[in-house]
Amino acid sequence: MSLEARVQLQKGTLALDAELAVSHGQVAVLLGPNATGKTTLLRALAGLVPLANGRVVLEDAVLEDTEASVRVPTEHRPVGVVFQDYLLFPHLTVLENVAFGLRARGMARGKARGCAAEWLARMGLSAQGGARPKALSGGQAQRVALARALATDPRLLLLDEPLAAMDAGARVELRRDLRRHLASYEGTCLMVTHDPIEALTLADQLIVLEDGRVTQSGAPAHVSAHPRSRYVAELVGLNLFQGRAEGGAIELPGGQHLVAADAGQFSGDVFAVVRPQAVALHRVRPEGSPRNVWRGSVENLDVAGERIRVQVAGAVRLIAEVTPAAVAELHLDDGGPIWASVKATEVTVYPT
Amino acid sequence: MTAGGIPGREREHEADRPRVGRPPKRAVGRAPAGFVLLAALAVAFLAIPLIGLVLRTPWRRLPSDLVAPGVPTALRLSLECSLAAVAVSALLGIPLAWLLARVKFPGRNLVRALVTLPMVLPPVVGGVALLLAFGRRGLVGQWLDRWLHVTLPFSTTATVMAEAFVAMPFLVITVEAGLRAMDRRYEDAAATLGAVRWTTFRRVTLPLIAPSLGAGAALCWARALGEFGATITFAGNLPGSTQTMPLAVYLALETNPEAAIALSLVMLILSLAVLVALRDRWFPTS
Repeated sequence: MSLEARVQLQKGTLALDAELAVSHGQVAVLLGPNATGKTTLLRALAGLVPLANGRVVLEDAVLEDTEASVRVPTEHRPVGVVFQDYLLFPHLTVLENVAFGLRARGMARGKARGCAAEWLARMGLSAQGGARPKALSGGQAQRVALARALATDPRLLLLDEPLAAMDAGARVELRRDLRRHLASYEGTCLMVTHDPIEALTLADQLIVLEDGRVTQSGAPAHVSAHPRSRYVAELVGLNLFQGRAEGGAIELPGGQHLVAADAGQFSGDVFAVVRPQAVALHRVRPEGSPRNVWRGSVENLDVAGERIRVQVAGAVRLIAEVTPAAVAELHLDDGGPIWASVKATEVTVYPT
Repeated sequence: MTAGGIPGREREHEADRPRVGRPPKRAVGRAPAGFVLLAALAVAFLAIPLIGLVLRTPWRRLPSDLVAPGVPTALRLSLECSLAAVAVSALLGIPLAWLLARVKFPGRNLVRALVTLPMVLPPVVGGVALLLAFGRRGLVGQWLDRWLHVTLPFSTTATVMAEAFVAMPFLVITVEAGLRAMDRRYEDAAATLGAVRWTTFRRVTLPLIAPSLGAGAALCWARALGEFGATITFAGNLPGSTQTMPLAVYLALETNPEAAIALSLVMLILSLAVLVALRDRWFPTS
């Protein structure tokens, strides 16, 4: 592991208690709802916020260890940070901004400027070297911030919502740019975002932070296929259930049962997911093969592409995705009772 | 300026923004006659003395008055002492402002009150206090006299001390406000780039609060330049070593009123220059 950290601290009402490990050269993305401590965790790794308890180790070097009373100050950590609104120094030119870290670490002025100019060239910003940050576009400012952070050759690169300030139109290209730059960076990278698309496209490893705790961590494909919290399930658009597997069925907290084809392999606490497309809706109780049938009512209808997402309230809450024709045929918006059914083969089960 | 933290400029920015969502401007009602009358009186009261000064200036004799014996000396001494006072105030006042703005220490409010006190204290009281502290028999002065053979009162150093005593608070208060308003995350950014605290302070903090520092220094300088009470009490009125412009003006008024007017005019022009330099801060374009 390149980065291993256990971070415990209290900031206002937020109690941060997170543990994470990132392999060398990987891009880890810290994903989570707003105000769950992502930025605070990043600042703690950079040494800008002291830990109440915990340990940060980067490539075998201990940066902080509360038990051993070790704390390397921010300016001596081999850590580069791209802040959320970049924080380019407004009184310095773009070139001076990029040269700042090299100068602060004792490089001679001329050499630092030469090095900074190389970085600007690599970012395609040679023409902007003499400009003030104020004159830059959002995308240019982001690349300058990246160049400034990378110029000091950090072993860990922290990025705080690097694309949040961009408008949607520019994001696709900037995301591609960012991925290219991150790929050529050989150190370890940890990026914070609340945008799931950014997370899924940029991450080698996805770390989900909710309420100051890591709820899930792993490869993006694995995390999105096996959500372990409502937040992740909603993010990837799956129905998530948690219950106890026993004898081929899962007992849900409300006393309902979810029959799953592969539930027999498990016993004890499990998660189960059902794709919304696999949920069928009926006006009368369906006869036949579906093993899971629940009565409920339509709570909300949303357009999702060419389909309609139907929120069903009842003993078991779930989301179904049906065609507009089905909505019309079944008069789903009349408030009457409906039946939702799920085949046992459509339920994916995995242990908690 | 995103982080200079000078209130005036921020207001200016607000004015730049489109005025969406603001309540429609109210039609200006007719002003009450009594108010107009009293306001006009106030303006007249403030302006007439200055007009009088300008009208009574013996323009033809002005060049010779300005080089009359003692005048260039007083002028030079005033400039030197007031600039030295600003330098002392900056050297001691900026670290103090930083501590007041950034460090929570016990008694911080007390220190701030103490620092502000000379702004409201009658300057002559300040002079008496300085004399009691740094005079030959003063609290500190006796030791300076005995051990270092340094006698402060009635010296040019005393003039600088008297001016710094009354003027430093202006710099401290203004710089502290600038430090508080500044976006501290720029300092975080500097630290992540490997800058130690001194480098951060020199290359990031100071440039970002430059507008506040400039305003504070200008206020401090104007106050030091006009200092009279504390100076005459603590430093005396010795031509060439402690007689600054305000003292010279006061003295000349009895012997050579024309020279007093000429000197006053010079001070008025200097004050106007400070006002013009600070206009963005005090009169944001609204």
